[in-house]
Amino acid sequence: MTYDRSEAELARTLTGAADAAPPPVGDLLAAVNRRRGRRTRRRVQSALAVAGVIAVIGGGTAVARGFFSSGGGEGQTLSAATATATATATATATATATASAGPTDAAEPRRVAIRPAAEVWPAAVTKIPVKAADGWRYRPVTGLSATELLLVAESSFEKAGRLEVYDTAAGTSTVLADMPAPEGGKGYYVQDVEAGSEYIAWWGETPNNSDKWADFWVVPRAGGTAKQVGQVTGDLSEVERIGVTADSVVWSAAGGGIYRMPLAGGSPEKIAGTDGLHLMSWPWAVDVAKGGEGEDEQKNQTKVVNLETGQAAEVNVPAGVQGLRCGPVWCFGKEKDQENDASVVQRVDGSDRKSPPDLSLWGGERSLARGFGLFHVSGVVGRDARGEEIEDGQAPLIAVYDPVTGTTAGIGRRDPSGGGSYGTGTSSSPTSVLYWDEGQRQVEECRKVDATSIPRPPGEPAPTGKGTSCTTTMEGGGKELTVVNLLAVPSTE
Amino acid sequence: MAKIAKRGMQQNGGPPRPWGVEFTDFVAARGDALYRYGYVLAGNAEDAADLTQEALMRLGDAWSRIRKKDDPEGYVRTTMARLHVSRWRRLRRERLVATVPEVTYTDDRLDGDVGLWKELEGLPPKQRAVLVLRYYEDLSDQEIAELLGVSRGTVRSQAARALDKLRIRVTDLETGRVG
Repeated sequence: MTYDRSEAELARTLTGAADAAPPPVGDLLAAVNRRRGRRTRRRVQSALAVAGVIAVIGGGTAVARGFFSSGGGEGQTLSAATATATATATATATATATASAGPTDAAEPRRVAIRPAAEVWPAAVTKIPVKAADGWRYRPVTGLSATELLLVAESSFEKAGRLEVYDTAAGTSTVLADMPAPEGGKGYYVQDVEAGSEYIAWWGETPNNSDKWADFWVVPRAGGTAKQVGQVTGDLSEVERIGVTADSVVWSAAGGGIYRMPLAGGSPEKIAGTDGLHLMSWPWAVDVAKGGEGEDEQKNQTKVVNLETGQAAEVNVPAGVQGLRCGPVWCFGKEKDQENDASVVQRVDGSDRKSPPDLSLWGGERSLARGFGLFHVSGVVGRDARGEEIEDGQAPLIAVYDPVTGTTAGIGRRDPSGGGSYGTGTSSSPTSVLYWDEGQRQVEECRKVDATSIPRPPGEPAPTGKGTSCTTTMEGGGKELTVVNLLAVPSTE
Repeated sequence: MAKIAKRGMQQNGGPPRPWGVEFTDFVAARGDALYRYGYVLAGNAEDAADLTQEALMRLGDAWSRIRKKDDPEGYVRTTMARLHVSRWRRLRRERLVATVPEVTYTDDRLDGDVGLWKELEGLPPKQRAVLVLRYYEDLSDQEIAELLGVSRGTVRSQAARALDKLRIRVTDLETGRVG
């Protein structure tokens, strides 16, 4: 082989190619905006927390160039989740025209290697009816034991009426207590329910008026008549999470600080030394608020405090990690460099650090009962010739990760288009139940419309010609929920 | 649905905030140069646009942070180089090479060695990135190593392999080959 070229020729060729580059198609800033809208849509669709039920609307190539608008996110339930995704015929149409010559199935894309929970932990998966005999709809809260599920029965959407315990071995449900509204409780809604070792507690408020007011209730775990413990107003009523001990209800306020009120009634008092702390699951408190958006969500947790013993553990936060959230033992976060949405799992002291493949964290809850982590499965396994993401249609929607064994179990059913929905139990503490409706199907209908009628971000030029408008709705289902109870997963540590 | 529990309305997303004026100005001023750099990195217009858009989107997200460092362009160029060598991109590239015949737009206008430009297509992404950073961006091997997050030795060996494949004489003894 003769070396007939010089480094100078290479440099000249590269510079020459840069100068001779074909002009880019369309406006760069508009393209960047579109890309951002698409990315945001993917995040929003997974973060639409509808009282524990989350609808994930299909991504993938078909709608990937469109813009997402939630079709009234608050009205979504398991059986009626709807959303609209609209694909546009903007300048990208010309950009993709040449590339469409290349078939997208040239190489076999890899598959996401996460097996469904029914295979990984068969003993933990059961089916329960969607509704009680009287038609009230069940909303799973958490597991009480390996064979008992705590359910709230709702008379209408989100209107909790009673607590029931479902025996998964016997396949029967027992009423534990009615959940009455307080006197004069117009517009009263129960919010979070919490299962303590002796009592079950919940709090409620009137979310649609501006009153800063909340109340607390308890009932023995064995059942009985619910008792209102007390009411609070002002900042104390901005309840974030609750817990229940043998003698008190405890809760943290949105602005931080943890309070208690005796079960026998009495004045609320702040627990000493809890400024800036937020309850996670009694007796554990953390220094980050629940939920959190934007910068708050990216913040790393730095300590875990046991309010019973007063012991505080510092979190060993590695460099380059954000959004780290820890329970007493395990932490879940993500790398700042989001090239592959890589997740970070470690113990509080920083040991056992790992990055489970195919699992990503977006907004929302990541901690589950028993130190398990809740992750999204992006399902994206590559990109096709047009640069659109390829999704593995068989991949589960989300996954439960056991940090001790590294076991990952898939949750939910992904429609071929990539969407689906799932629910997480609504307990205040990290829940032990996840559920979905196997019978439900996502149906996408597309039609040609005049392109000018398609919604577009402000500042985008109006497209011309015909565009495709697609609507995705949920159909079927409504009979049974598939429930995974993490308390029934064989013990590992 | 007028009456609804508060919990039912929670969502963690929301529409993106509009970009700041400074960012849009930056895109207007530097977009073309960045796209051309992307073209040299990727070898085709479509990938170049993809790289540029993706990197600019990330810059926009990080704008307030990056601006303080005063080197948004360096941030974008680094992001583009890393994206180019990343796994998903590679997967896509292989497909493109397999299915879409390269258009000849550049050939007629190229002031340089058309054969050499074509042969660059055959290089693995990391080797190509090293050459572009060294001969187009004029970076030192140490700078390239930092930018790509690899060792200097890796930069040298990648460059040497690429130059060898392209039959390029190397005058710098340090790179290990004398043509």
